[in-house]
Amino acid sequence: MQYRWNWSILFVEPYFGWLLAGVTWTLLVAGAAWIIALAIGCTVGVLSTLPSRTARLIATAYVDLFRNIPLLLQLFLWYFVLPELLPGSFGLWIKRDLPMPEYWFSVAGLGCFTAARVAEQVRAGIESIGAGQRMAAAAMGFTVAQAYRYILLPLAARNVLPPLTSEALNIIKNSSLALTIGVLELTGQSRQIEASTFQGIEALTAATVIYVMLTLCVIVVMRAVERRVSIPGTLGRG
Amino acid sequence: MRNLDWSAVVHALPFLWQGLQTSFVLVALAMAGGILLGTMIAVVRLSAPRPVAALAAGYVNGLRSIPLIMVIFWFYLLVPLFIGRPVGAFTSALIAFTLFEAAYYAEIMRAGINGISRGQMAAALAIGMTGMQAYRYVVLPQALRRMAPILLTQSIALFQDSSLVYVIGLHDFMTSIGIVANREARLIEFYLFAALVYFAICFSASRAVKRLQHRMLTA
Amino acid sequence: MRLGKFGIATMASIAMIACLVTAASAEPLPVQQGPGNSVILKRILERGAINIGHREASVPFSYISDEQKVEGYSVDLCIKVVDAVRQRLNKPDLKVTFTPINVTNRIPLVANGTIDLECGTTSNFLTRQEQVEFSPIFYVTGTQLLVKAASATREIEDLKGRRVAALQGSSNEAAIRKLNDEKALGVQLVYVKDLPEGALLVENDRVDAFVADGVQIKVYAATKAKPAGSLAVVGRLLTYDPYSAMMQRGDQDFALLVRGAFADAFRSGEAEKTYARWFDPLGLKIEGELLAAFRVQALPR
Repeated sequence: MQYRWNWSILFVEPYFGWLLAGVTWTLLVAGAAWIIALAIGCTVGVLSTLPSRTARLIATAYVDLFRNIPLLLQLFLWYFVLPELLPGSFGLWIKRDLPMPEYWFSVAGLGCFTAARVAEQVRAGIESIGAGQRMAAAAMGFTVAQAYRYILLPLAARNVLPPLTSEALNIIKNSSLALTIGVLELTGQSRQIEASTFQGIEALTAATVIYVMLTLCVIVVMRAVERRVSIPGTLGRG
Repeated sequence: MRNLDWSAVVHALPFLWQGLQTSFVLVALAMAGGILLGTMIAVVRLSAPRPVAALAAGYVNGLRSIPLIMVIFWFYLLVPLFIGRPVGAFTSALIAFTLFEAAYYAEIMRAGINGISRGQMAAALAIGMTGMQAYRYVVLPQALRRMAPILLTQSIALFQDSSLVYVIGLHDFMTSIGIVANREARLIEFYLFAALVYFAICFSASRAVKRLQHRMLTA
Repeated sequence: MRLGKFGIATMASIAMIACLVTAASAEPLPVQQGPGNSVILKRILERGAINIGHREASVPFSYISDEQKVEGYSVDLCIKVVDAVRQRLNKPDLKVTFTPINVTNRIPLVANGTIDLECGTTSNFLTRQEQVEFSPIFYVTGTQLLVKAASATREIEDLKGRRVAALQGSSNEAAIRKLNDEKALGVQLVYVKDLPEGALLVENDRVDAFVADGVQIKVYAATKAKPAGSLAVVGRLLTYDPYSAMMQRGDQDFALLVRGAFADAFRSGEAEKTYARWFDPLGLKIEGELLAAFRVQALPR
């Protein structure tokens, strides 16, 4: 097979700069989407454990909708379809004046998709506490809000940290799909280098190594968080 | 709202159906291969000598830290280079999915095996089974059964992930949608239709899994 | 060139017959038989099929039709190469398999041997020749702008600070990036994967223009604009894009066979006929540069 190796391509300008830009965009997409995912995910997760039937229905509908359509397609829907369905002036603003629409749509798409998964983890975390704590709180005269604020959420938060770590890893990995709507994040930049230099293997290797390093960083940070918040005397590694 | 025209979608149905069949075949094969390989990795990780187990762990953690889309690119562009012979989009996608999903199935199976009580293993060994036999006839059947809902849920995720072969142009459902949508210049109608199809399939499948889970709990 | 089992006399008479036959039916008669030293021909023989790389929506060059058939101007020309391969290998029933490709994977797939012959809309550049081999040039175009017909934009300079879509990884994108730097246009690039996506962004006012190969956007504007006549192609040619078919590099025998098949088609007028078949319905008459390219590349046997 024919292939002309040239590893130095990765370290010359502009390609080195492209890779750096790619890492930056990956972090910007994943970071912003993570904030959205946590905010919506925790809200929906809590809704799904509330006594109110409507709340649970809304939460289930949200999770079902966002979990049963492939992320790739969701991004296409956000980017190509949604602006056409929005009413007049707002749609026009998004189309004409919103800077970097591909960035915002990929953040929104990735955020909402991950939120559904976070919601499932949060629900599982709250349910795992068991009915006893909830009843005890009610017996003490706590309102539902108070029970959540002082008993259920603090306990659940520790339970959901490990699964949330893997969701944080997923969001970094899934941010690579943003390339399909034109965000030149890490995978996109490696494809871009390939298109300009035809040195595909070198570019792909560099991107792969960087992804592994990013993943390791997230794991280290989340483990540190887990250690800090663990409750002494429980089975969680203290 | 702009006028939508669904006639192009109706017209393209036979082509899309072919794509959907390709998706199903790909997912079914990758699922079978992935669960088989994943189970082997899980067993190796739990019972092989330390260096081998570490290797299996490295495989699982390594693949789990790379985006699937990169794995697909890798296999599509590079496998032919290394084995010296071109492989088609379907074969390379199948290899990529099998190896990639095996890492995830391995973790599920590991949890499943860990959940089997020690006594089972001890009993199997006590009646003279070898370690291999104990896994094959006692531990794995129980672990598979116990983990079936989670394995199936992962397979629904695999079905959704299979849409990523779009990037290498394998004619699965998503690629077929992309082709006709672009040819007819009707992206909006086709993407909405695709969302509907994926939702219908994944939603009913996950409901079925939930029922199965419920039955297993109450049984 | 090796004469194989043929003697010089036989060669001469074959050449004479070839001239007559060519004049009559425009069928090329390859001199050599069998795969010879060609790695690509050997692999085709082994597989019993030649694998052609095609685009999915590059009308009328290379696309999948309503009947799910791969067709187009580039594909038709490539089929002439396939015929030459069939004759050379003496396998009239050699199968043709098709692999869809896109702008980002086409070169790697040719370089790694997945595809024997790429028949799309690839510009023949010297840097690309470092990775792949190219056929003779069968179309000549350049980067232009697709805009709304009502738009006042006439040249790229009118788009200062505006939003412009480009195919990611295309030569058009590289050209606009370069112009952006040289002339400080401040154009914001929006990347798309396929031609209709870029056109859709123009139609929906998401971008002010879409830069792509002139002929492709002309065809789109002529056939797909909704409503008809709402899109226009404007501007000078910002780049020079000569289209060629791609094949794996380093196989001189196969490259010669491809060059021969193309030269035959140019010489016999088959290429012009093929052009007319695909472009006349779109109202795009053959232009001077392309006609000249056909004549210049019509090397004698």
